[in-house]
Amino acid sequence: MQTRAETESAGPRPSRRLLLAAVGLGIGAGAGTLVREGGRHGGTYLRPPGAAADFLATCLRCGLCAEACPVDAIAMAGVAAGTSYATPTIDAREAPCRLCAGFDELRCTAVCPSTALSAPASRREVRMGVARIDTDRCLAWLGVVCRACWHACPYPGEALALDERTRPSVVEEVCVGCGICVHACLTEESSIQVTPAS
Amino acid sequence: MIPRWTIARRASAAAFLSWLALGWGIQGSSVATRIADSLPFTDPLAALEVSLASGELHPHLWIGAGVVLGITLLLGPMFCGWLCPLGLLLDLAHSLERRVRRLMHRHVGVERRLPPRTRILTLALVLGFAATSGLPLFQLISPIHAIGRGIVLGFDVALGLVALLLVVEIFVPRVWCRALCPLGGLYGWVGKHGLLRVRIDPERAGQIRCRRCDVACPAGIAVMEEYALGGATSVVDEGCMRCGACTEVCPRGVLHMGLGASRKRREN
Repeated sequence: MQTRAETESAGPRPSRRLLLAAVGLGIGAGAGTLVREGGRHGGTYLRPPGAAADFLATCLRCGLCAEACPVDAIAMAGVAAGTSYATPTIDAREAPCRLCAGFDELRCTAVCPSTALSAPASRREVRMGVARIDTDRCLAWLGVVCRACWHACPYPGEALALDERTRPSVVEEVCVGCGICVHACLTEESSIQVTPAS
Repeated sequence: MIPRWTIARRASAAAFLSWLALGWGIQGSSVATRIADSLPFTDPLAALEVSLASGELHPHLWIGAGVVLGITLLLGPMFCGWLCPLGLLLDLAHSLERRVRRLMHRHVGVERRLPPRTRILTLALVLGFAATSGLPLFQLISPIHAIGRGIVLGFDVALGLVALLLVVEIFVPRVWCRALCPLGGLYGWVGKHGLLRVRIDPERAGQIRCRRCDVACPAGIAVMEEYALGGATSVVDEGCMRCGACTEVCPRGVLHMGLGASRKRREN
């Protein structure tokens, strides 16, 4: 009995606790400094609207945004994403962001507990990325009348302009990067792609 | 005697998991939830890590974390025993293990060596890492959230960590809850003096020195030797998860769970 009382006391003594805490902080901070460079990057993904610049640091990986998304556009990244694991990403070809059309607010930004996703002043100010057209593959640029992206675009004529031969071009200052055009594109591999912001 | 606390505790954790999975009136996972689309509850360790990693306070994040910390401060580390999905799994696994050992006529007792309490180390490690790397690492690798997030968004390879832990725990019982869990370390530190705790009847303490409470305690607290025989009127211990296991095995009703400030140590 005596031996147990000694070895199993009511927890470590204050001095030992302090030592443990200091050792932990030291090792943690040291290891953190080592991975800082590579860890922060974590690959480029199309994020939900209003994503913070320092996304990997501010995202809790809670999944509230993915659950709140009314069109199931948000998927949490898998283990292969490394430091981006369990953060929200959007595969625009699969399911683009519909900017919560018909809702009062952007649902993901409304439920996000941190500032990882914060509501922009208006939907027009969403900057998830910028669409780019591959003019070597785009049907319209190859001479076929198409306009699929233009019809799908939430800001037709503003974010996507058509020239006199109905060839689309992206107005980068207006494009919100929602990826609806990527989803709508008729070519086997989409001829329009969103380059994610930062 | 019916183990009421154990049943209530397991039912509570199972209900929490099922509620998350069903999502009726609740959104989110074990990291952060919103009830009725307004009441936020946030994992305080996640809030700490994110604040350190981003170098910003995120006041809005601390509302949800503050609610959880407030409950912990007032009542004790209730999350561990009553809501933690991993805690539930380990609890069930160990209870199954005990049954098997009993069937094999193996002795179940305190002689089984429990790992030391080093949660403060892992907590400091996780926080130090977050501050310099800019990554809330524990939110990526936490086996608690591998279950608590997986049940909402679909399980993935992270569940392998849980499986590994289950195997390790056969050899080193309760290694996660006692030695490794940084979240439990934070809750234990904040909720140590929480009001809902094991009360000791000093009049009857020590009449039978059966040590059943010491054997039953999943946190390895020497309830009898250190507290009851030491003249304490309640167990004030960082490792105590308020699970009530000791109160259920006490043959003399010396121990019971209760609220109320602790009285001074008995004059002896």
